This record gives sequence, structure tokens and C-alpha cells, in this order.
Amino acid sequence: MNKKTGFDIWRRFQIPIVLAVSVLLIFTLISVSLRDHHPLKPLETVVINVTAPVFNFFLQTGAAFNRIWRGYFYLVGVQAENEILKQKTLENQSKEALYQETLLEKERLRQLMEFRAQAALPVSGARIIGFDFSIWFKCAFLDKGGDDGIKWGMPVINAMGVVGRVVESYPDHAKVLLLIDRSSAVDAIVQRNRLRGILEGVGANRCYLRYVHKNQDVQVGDVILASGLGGAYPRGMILGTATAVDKKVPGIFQEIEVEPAVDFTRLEEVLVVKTVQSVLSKH
Amino acid sequence: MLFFYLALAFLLFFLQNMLPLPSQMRLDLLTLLMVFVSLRASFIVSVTMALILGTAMDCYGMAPLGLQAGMLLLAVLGVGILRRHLNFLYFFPQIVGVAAITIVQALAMALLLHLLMPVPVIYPAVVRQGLLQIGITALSAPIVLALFSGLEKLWRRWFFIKT
Repeated sequence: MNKKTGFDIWRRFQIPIVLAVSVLLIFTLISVSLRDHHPLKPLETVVINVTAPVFNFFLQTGAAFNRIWRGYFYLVGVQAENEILKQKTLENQSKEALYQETLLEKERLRQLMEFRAQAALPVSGARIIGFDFSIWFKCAFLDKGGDDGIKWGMPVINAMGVVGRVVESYPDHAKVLLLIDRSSAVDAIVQRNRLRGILEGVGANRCYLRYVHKNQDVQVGDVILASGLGGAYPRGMILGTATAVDKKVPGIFQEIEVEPAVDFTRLEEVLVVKTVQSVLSKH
Repeated sequence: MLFFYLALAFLLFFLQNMLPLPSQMRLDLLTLLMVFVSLRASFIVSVTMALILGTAMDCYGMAPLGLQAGMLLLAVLGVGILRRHLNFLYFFPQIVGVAAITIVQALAMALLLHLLMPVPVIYPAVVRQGLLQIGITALSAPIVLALFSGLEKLWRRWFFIKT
């Protein structure tokens, strides 16, 4: 009678063993990482620190190609109207593209600076280097982190309105929970009549203003602002605009759909509001 | 070939998570990669890929660590069950097979999120977006899987790896 060795057993039960170990590992990871200060944070930090610079490099390279590509078509259009541009070389086309992109960037930054001056908030500029835009979660990654003074809970805004808030801070990067994430909730007011509600994300580029009684007046087109209560966002920041109001839903509250002021698919530069607590105390 | 799969995963991870595409137009490239890897590589390699890739995805997302790895592991198991129907030569069974896998993933994810995080998950807008994503992913599966296969052949040719 043949004796079964450990190797034979492994070969026979390889799939069930690997599967069982994987499932056990996954459930252990989930249960450990659900804790507030879980011990796996260093693992996250290592993964982010190793991969984010590579992604940033890809992003910069992609942007450079994009500039050249867009610049080429731009100049093709201009050539038809301008004889001088016909003599431009490929090098000049690239330079022109770079110039155009710089102008656009400058304009965006100028808007941010103007907004910064108007808002008079202690802010720090940052670039978005990545997104998690799955149907379940909506978050973004910034190219600045704890080393630049960015901490948990700081609001992130741009010239259009509220983007979200910092939920994780790594040494060189930060993770931002976007306003449209389903776990995002902001104390909000309707600008026209100061009605209060909670603006919640639903995970699909839309938000809903909750807990507004059916007999209260909210109309399509009403601007929704951050109330400043709860300490998460500066008071008066634009959150979005009401796009649909439904009073026929069951229950005592009406359903108000809100389109965020920020176009999350085109985010590039943002401002992180520092020391939000002191800002809130001013109001 | 593990290095090739990891390199491809890294590239797709970048394409999927770093490029701000319109939120309604998301193609689940990483699930398709897991389907491809599960069809071509051994079970151990597929599970290793699912764990590594899923953990990286969780680090970049809001999910607790392990959740995405679990979903990718479901894709590996799905391929194990539907292997006969996911033949590269037949488009329609591939589309149906990938649709089935992504639907199971979405249902499992919704259930787990509902259990782990006490916030509402199901909204009409989310369902619409989810169905759109499943549809786009399933319909593009034959093309994307063929593309992965082509890349794999090129890789084998460049590095003289025997099939």
C-alpha cells in the first residue's frame, strides 16, 4: 500500500487549501481594517508611497503627449487661416502646445488664487493625481500629504465649490472623500430661505438633500450651501444646485436631488483648507 | 508570466483609477484581467494576483482592506465554474459569462457593504450606473480579452517564453 506524502496531499487538495487560506486572509484583513486605528495602516502607506510616484510619472507623461496631440490639431486649424504658421516645425508645434497648456493652467491657477483671496481661508494648493471612481466609492488622491501639513478632516475645495474632505493623510499624499461618495454627509442650507438639511452623496455623481420636511419650500434651481455646522466645511461654500424635488415619496421628508457644483470628472487642482476649526470659530 | 500579469495589472490600474473618465463610462478592466489570468494561469497564480491587486485597489479606495480582493477572488472562482463557456473563440458565451461574474461581484459587494457600513447602498442612480458598467464590461469582454491575449503573445515572443 502506497503511503501518501505531504506533497501528494497538497497536490490533491491544492485548490481547497489555497481557497480556504485566501478567504480566511480576506476576512481577517477586512475585520482588522474596519477598526479605527488599524495596524495595517503602514501597509497602505507603503503601497501608496511605492505606486503613487509611478502613477504620477504616467500622468505627467500622458499629459505631455496630450499637450503635443492637442497642440498639433490646434495648429492644423490655425494653419488654414494663417500663412506664417505653415512654416512652423514640429518643434514649434510642441512648444506652442506647451504654451497653450501653460496658459490654461495659469488661468485655472489664477481663478484659484482669486478665489483664495476672496475666501480669505488658510489654504494649500494641491494637484489630483488619482481617483477611485468605482460605483461603490468616490475618492481622490492628492500630491501633498502630512509633510505639507495636510491632516485628517481638512476640507478640500476649488473655485466651483466643495470637493470633499481629507480622510487619510500619508507623508506625501492624501486621500480625499469626495462629496458624492455615499458615506459623505454635510450639514447644508438652502441659500434662498436658509432651510437646513443634510446633503448626502449616493455614489453616482449626484447628492440628495435629506431631512427637509414636505411642507418646506425648496425649488429646482435653489443653491445649496455648507452651513458650517459640524465643523467639516467652511460656512457658505457652494455645495450644489437642486435639480429635482419630489414630495410624493413616502414619509415626512421630501426628496431633493442636488447636482454638485464641482465637476468631479474634470478635477485637476484643488485647495486644502487648513485650520478649519479656527475658520469656523470666526463665523 | 506572473511578472507580465502584474505589469499589465499595474498599467490597467493606472488607466482605471488615474484617468478621470466620465463616471458613467467605467469599464471594469481589472475584473476582465482577472478573468483572463484565471483562464490562462494556474489557480495559485490567479489567487495571488487577486490578493495583490485587490489589496492595492483597497489602498486607493475607501473600502476596508480585503474587500476588492474578495471580489476579484469571486471572479477567479467564477471563471473556474464557467471555464468551458469562456472560450476565446466564442464571443456570445464570453459576454454572458463575464456579465454573470460581474453581476455576482456587484451583488456580493452590495451585500458586504450593507453589512459592514451602515449607510444606504442602493439608489436608482447607483443601480443604473452599476448596470451600465456591467453592460459595458461584458460587451467589451471579447475585444479586451483578445487584446490581453495578443499582448501576452507579444510578451512571450519578446522574452522567448514557451507556451
